[in-house]
Amino acid sequence: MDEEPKKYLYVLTHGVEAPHRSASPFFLATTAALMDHEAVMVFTITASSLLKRGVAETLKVKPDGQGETLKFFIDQAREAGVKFYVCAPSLDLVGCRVEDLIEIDGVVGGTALNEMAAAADVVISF
Amino acid sequence: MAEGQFREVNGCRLPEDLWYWPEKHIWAREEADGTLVVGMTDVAQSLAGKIVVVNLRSLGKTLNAGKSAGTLESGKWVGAIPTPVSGEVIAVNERLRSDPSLVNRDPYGEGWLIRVRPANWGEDHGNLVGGEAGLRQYQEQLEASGIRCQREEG
Repeated sequence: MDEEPKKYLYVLTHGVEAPHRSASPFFLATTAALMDHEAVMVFTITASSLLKRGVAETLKVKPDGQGETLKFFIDQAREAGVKFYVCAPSLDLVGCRVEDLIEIDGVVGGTALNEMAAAADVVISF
Repeated sequence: MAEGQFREVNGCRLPEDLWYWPEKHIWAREEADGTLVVGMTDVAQSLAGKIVVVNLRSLGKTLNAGKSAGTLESGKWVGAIPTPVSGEVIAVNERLRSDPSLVNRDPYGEGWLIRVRPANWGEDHGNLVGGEAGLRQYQEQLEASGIRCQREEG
């Protein structure tokens, strides 16, 4: 392959309080993964609430309640090979434990997130 | 729609003169000059819904079989365009930039995606299955999955 795969890091900071913001980061990460790039999403502040078991199935992305639930976008990202990491301190903020989450690839702290950002070619924050 | 014979399974059209990669819903047509024209099948366009963006950034690149030559987006859905054989992408369908839903309207004709010069077509057909075997494999897969096709009109 002529072009080297790049590392894309998506940092999510909004959660269930803003459903209309929830799908796009998953969509972008999916697109990167499907172009054979490495796509990693980190969930911090309230974004960790999106990964709570049972949430995505009922969270409608559009304000009018039509269309897909967040689960469609999470499944699509997973299938494309996007990795999910959760910020450890944020779990306390949204009142849950790692066991309450859907399957993730790991838990990170502040130091690790900084290092992931430093190692990435592209960082996009939502 | 390209001319010629096709089979219909669950409302999905499968031209008989193409090679198929059933798992990825990709077709390929062997051209006289030894290159392959590659596109997505009627099945793929039905599953995706109306395509609104086609990203083909692979022109001139040499890709291994299975590597992504671009993506298609239908608003909520995004899918890869994996190249079925190892080789160089020698053309991309520029018309899809301004009219992406050609993929829906004419998946086997004007909605083609890329043209590939296979690295070693004589010995390596990559993920493609041709002739009756390819048709049968795709047909069985569609029957088992229960996928049904519909076409965008106009």
